[in-house]
Amino acid sequence: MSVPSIISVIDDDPSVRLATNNLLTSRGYTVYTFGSAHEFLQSAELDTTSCVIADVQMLAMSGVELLMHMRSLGRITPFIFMTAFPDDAVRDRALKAGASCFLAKPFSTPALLQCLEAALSESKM
Amino acid sequence: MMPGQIAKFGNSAAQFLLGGLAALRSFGNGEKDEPAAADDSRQDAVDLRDAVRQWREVFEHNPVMYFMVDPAGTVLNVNTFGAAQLGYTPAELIGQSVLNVFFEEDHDYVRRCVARSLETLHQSHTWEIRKFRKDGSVLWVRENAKAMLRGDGTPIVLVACENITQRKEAEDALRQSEAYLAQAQELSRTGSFGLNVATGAIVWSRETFRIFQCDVAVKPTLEFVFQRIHPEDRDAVRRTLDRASRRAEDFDHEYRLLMPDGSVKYLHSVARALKHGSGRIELVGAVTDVTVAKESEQRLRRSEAYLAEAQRLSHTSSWAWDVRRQEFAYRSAELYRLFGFEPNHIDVPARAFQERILPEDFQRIIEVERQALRRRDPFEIDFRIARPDGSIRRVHTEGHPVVGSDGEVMEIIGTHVDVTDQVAAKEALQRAFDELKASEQRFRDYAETASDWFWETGPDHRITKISEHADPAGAAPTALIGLTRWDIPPDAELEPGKWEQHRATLDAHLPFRDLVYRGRDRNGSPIYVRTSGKPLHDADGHFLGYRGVSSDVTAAIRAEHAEEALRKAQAELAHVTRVTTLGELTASIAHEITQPLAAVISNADACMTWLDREPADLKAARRSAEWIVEDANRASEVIRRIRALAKKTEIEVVSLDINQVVREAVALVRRELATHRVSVRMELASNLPKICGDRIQLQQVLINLVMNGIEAMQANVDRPREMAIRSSRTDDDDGDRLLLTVTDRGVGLGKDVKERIFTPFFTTKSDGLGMGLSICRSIIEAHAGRLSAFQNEGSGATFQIALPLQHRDTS
Repeated sequence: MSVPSIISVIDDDPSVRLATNNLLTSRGYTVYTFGSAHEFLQSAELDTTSCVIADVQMLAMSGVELLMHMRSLGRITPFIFMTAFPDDAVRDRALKAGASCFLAKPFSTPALLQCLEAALSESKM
Repeated sequence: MMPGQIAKFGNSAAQFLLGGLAALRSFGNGEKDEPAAADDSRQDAVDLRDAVRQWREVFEHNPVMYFMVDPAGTVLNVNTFGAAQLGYTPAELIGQSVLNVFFEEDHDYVRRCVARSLETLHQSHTWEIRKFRKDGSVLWVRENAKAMLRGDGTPIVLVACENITQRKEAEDALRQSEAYLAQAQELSRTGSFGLNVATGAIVWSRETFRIFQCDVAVKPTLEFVFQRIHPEDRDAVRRTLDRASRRAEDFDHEYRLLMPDGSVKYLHSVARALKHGSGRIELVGAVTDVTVAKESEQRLRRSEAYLAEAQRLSHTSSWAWDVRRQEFAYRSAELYRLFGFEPNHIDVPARAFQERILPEDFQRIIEVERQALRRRDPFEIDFRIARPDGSIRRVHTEGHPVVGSDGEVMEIIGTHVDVTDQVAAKEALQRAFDELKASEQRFRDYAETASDWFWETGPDHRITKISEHADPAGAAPTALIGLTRWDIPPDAELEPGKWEQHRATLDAHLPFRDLVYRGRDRNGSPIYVRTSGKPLHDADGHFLGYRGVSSDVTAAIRAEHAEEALRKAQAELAHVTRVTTLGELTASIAHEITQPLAAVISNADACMTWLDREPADLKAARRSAEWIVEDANRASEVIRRIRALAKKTEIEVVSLDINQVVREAVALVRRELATHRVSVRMELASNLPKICGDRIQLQQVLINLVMNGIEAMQANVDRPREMAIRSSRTDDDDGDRLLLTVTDRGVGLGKDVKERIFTPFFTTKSDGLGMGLSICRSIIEAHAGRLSAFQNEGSGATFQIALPLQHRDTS
């Protein structure tokens, strides 16, 4: 990896945010964490992020709404969703909006990494 | 002049004629009897005959009635006019008795008059008398009579009469109208008077004499009048008369007379000042005795005063309400006082009265009035008045509609009775009654205590003595002498431990207190007995047995059991709803565990990755491991709390930090809030004192309220889904309390809903049991607190938990 990919993790649960950050950092990714969609949208990482890993259920703006908002702005940053409420309707909506992956918490690390790699290679194409 | 009054006759035309007439009559008669003697005398005779003829004409047609009567009363001659006046021809009267034209009752009088004339020859007499005509009608005449001697020496009475009927009738009419006037004056107690200002001469009518009690024969004077006038009124009357006299002014005044017998008369006098051409001023007027009217007026005034006094004493006011004008037609002085107005402020409008009635009561009055107008029925209503001094008066009103000629109610008349004191008395009575009941209860307690019985047991613990009980139906088991205590109760087998311990105490000869056991009274009914006893020893220290007291505590034990059962049932119910709530929360709870679990997995994986690095990043690995422990702890804490909620436990009252209770409860529903997009604002006051309560039950209430709030905001589209949880402390009339409120911005509470929201099985949800809020309320009430619901100013509802704070001296 010549240029380390920047991963933005958006989750309103601090411990999950911290753990995901820890996991991805240990694997060599550059990770930024955000407590809400708005926090992310206002950050400098909006332009540099290679992949977004976001929780679906968040106050104010949900993960899927963030994705749809990004797409409406013409941003094609790949999205990976994690949720503690794996609901088929939400999954369909997320995938339809253009999500790369939809993971149910607790997820296995290989599954996340696999999704992430796929998403990153997709974005590089 | 009265009829029959004879007066001396003076010179007059009538007398002359009468004399002439007598001569003519005798001449004429002689002519027929004696022939003429000579020519001279013949000529003389011719002249004389002419003169006689002329005189005769005069005699016959002079409008005076002439009669010539002999001493026997026989008419010797009458002129034509005289006869015609009586409706006769002279021939019909001549030769008849003159009495024929007089009334029978006047005959004697006529005879006397004739006789008198005969006795006094040549003297004239006059009198007035009635005659009646041939047709029976009456004729009043004034008669002039004179007796004289004829040529032959026989006496004759000559009478000349003039008709005075008209004058007589006018006199009668005057007399009659005077009589009428006198009578009218007497009846109306009004006398008339005239006062010549210049001379002071006074003319009074008969009634005025009567009023002033003055002899009619005495001429009234101003001095006399002022003597009669009440001393207190003399100056006023004098001033009035002076002014009227000086300025020729009419007057109208009232004054009193002080009569010789000490009685007082009230007079009303009206007079007109007449100014005569000569400048003479006369006051002419009427004076009316108004004593009767005055007295009745005073009586009326007095009776009004009595009524006012009676109203004041009985706190009763009366009024009449003009329905059309919506204004009082009448109101008694007491009504002003009742409403806190001065009685002389007569221009206070009805509205001012109405404004002093408590608004909610006034609405009722309007409704009752409307009904009374429609039904025309009497009504009664109670209401309250707030006086400006802040006092509240309670009023009982009775009203009667008065129907007018058009069939509509035009007035309502009624009374207000101030019953404030009665109500207070009634309340005092009720209090006294309550106290009596309480003292009865106390007495019963004493009696029950008095129904304790004493016992003694011997060294072998068998009963040797039992006191005779006052109440034969009571509990003392007198037939138990010779038995041991454990022979009696039926629960010896049920609670062997209790009896083993008791027997050990007895064997050690130790005192015991408040042993409760089940027994039976003398009727065989099961009872609870509480007993205490202490050992007895003789002077040498030998154990003799026990002496003690027992009482029937069945009622107290049963009450305790009932309370216990109630507490159990409540806890049971609380538990059931708690578990139901947990069921509803399953998804949220799963999430609460999933999150830390996901973190644990990620951190564990990272930990291994850090260790696998060359060289291993031990620091990062250790940090990862620490996070794993934290996340695992978090997960287990969630599980612990959920288990606590799900556990069926007895109420455990401990000292609690209410803010901590709130935070833990909200943590459990955090996800539920997030899922439904509800944000929660926590405004928890710091430094709140601890409260006493059951943590689990209080959290159950909070969770229930939060869940309700979430549900209430489900339909919010244009309103944010916000919830606020606040804690604070308040110290008001209800005491020092801790307040906990949960405010949502949801659909809010309808009036109807607000009333019933806390009743069991009431629910607005399609899938709810409707037990939640009723359980919440019973939980809070078990904490001696209050749970209430309010509709917010804007949208949504606020539920408030008020919990009493421990008193400083007991905490």
